[in-house]
Amino acid sequence: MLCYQRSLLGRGVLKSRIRVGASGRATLRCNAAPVSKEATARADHVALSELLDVAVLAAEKGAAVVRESLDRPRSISFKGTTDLVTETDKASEEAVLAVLRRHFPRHALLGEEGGVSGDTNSTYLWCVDPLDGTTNFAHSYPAFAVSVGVVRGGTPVAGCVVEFTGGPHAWATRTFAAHKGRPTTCNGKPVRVSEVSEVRRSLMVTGFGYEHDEAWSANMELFREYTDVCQGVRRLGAAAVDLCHLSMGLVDAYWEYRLKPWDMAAGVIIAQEAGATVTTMDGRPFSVFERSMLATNSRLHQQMLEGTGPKTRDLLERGVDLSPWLVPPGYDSTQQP
Amino acid sequence: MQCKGAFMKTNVAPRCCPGRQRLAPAAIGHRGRDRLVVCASKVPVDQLLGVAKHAAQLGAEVVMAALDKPRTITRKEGTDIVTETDKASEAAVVGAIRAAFPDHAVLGEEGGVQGDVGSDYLWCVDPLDGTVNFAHGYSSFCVSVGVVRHATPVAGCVIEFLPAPGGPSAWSTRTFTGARNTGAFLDGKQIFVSRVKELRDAVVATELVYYPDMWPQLSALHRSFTGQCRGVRMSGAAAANLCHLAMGCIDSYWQYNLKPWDVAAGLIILEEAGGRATTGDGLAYSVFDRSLIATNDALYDKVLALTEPQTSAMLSEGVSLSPWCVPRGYRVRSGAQLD
Repeated sequence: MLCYQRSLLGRGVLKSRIRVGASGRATLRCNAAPVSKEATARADHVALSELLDVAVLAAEKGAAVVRESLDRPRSISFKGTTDLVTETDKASEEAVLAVLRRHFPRHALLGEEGGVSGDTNSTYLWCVDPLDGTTNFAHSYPAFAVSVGVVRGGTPVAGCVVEFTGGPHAWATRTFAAHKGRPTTCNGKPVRVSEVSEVRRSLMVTGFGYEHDEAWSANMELFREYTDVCQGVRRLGAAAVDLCHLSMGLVDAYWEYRLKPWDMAAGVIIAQEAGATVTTMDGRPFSVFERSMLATNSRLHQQMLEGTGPKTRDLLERGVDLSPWLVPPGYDSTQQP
Repeated sequence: MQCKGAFMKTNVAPRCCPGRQRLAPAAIGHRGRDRLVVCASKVPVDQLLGVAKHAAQLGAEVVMAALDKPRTITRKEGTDIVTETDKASEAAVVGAIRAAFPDHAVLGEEGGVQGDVGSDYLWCVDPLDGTVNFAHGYSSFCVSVGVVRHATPVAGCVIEFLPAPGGPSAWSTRTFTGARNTGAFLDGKQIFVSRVKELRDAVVATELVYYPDMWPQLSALHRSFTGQCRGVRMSGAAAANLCHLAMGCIDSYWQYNLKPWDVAAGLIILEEAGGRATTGDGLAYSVFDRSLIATNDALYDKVLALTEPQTSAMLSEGVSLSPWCVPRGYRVRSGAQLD
């Protein structure tokens, strides 16, 4: 079974997790085992609450791995620390995937480290980022998380993010959880987006990738425009964390180009069930395979689209490719949940 | 007049602190009789630090009490609450400083200059650094209390607010301190800058404010750093950035148009942790300067290599980066670090 998916990924973001070939194109490593469509259809349809329970369990297992790594003494040489980080990513992902496979052996899995596995005929695809904000983790900079989300088609339906915050000698975690129809909780307490309705009163956050191309420049222009009129635009380097901050009302809008499915799957449902509106940056329906994302507290959405929409359409007109990517081969990304 | 926070767009010096003050050269010949009236004696740094800590704690109590208020208040009143917290925190902090050192000068972000500007000592107080973060409940924000002798930071305390275990609205604090030649500490443990040697391994902080006359250079700097470093972070509080650098969580920090109260405490903490700070074009830095690069020891030259051309470009475009916020009548002498 041919398992390679062609897509363009920015340099440096994924390091060794997804192979970038000599042509510069990236391939998802695919360990999918063929299963008959009939068998898959029988196994499908899982209650949302069950999906969420498993997402939480899996995320907490990953978080336990990360927590244990936090307390390990750091070696002084940076080479050593880089190795340590890669180990933590992998170990967290193994812990997360083990839970998912045990509960849902027939589902499809997409992990940042290990690529695609499971049965891509399934209507469910789990998107796992075992350590979102790896750089921050490596520097003990508090903005990293374990993110476990599940989508049907391209639509997130349940997700859990365990966010690490505080700092050295003062670490704390916040566990965000939501599924469709179940309002978001943080450490068990309901959270809600902010009520800020004016851009000039809002605090926003964005991210910049590593490629200094037209999308990067467009984002710098957006950053400049918004930083001039709102209260500030932050940059933390971890999308799942940013989406959780939106869900609890700390920030009022978040946008970014070229996030990956595992960056967004859990965070988006968490934000939506807390009252957020999530679309592409040009106002089209959101899917985890889209290459732009605008998430707001809903009150600001139209105003934000007035800025992000034209900029994004301009990129498309100039030939920048923002078409869906990273769809596992054989997986139907268009089905509706 | 209120001196606005560091990240307001204006880069004009506030009225209470007239800009364009020249730093007088080290006044070697002026010691002795004509200076005997005020502040002839040096205050021991541990005494200065003790007062800085006590004052910062009083400010932090005010901020913590404001955080504990239920968040049912609308955004319209939200701005008012923030201002009240800034002012109340500053009143508490400045009150403690003036009680301990009635003959020193004090410069607060909210209340301007108090005390005796003829003093050798100037306390620089940011009662709530990261005001926007505080208003949104976004980590982090700080109380920052530093004291400079002439233009040199000699002691400082920063109390930083962080999310705590227990729930979405739980906060805890941690305390950074530093005093000349006695080290930098976080909650009593000594801290040091990181040992990152290469930009590609570095996390760099900045805050990008849209100053139209500087934007081409700021934008170019952002591009260079994001292109060469592991990551660039913009989390919105200058004193916190300096403390994170001092403890090794980030590896460099660059910023334009900071005010003395943003940096006075953070700088002494950073230097005592082994870090370096100069202007963006490599000149000796004072808390009154308008460009800052702060690094661990190993990265300094590499960071300067990026900031120097852009800083020079700004200057040749006519951007003013000359010292500002020097209280009228306060004598600032460069080269006066050692007596």
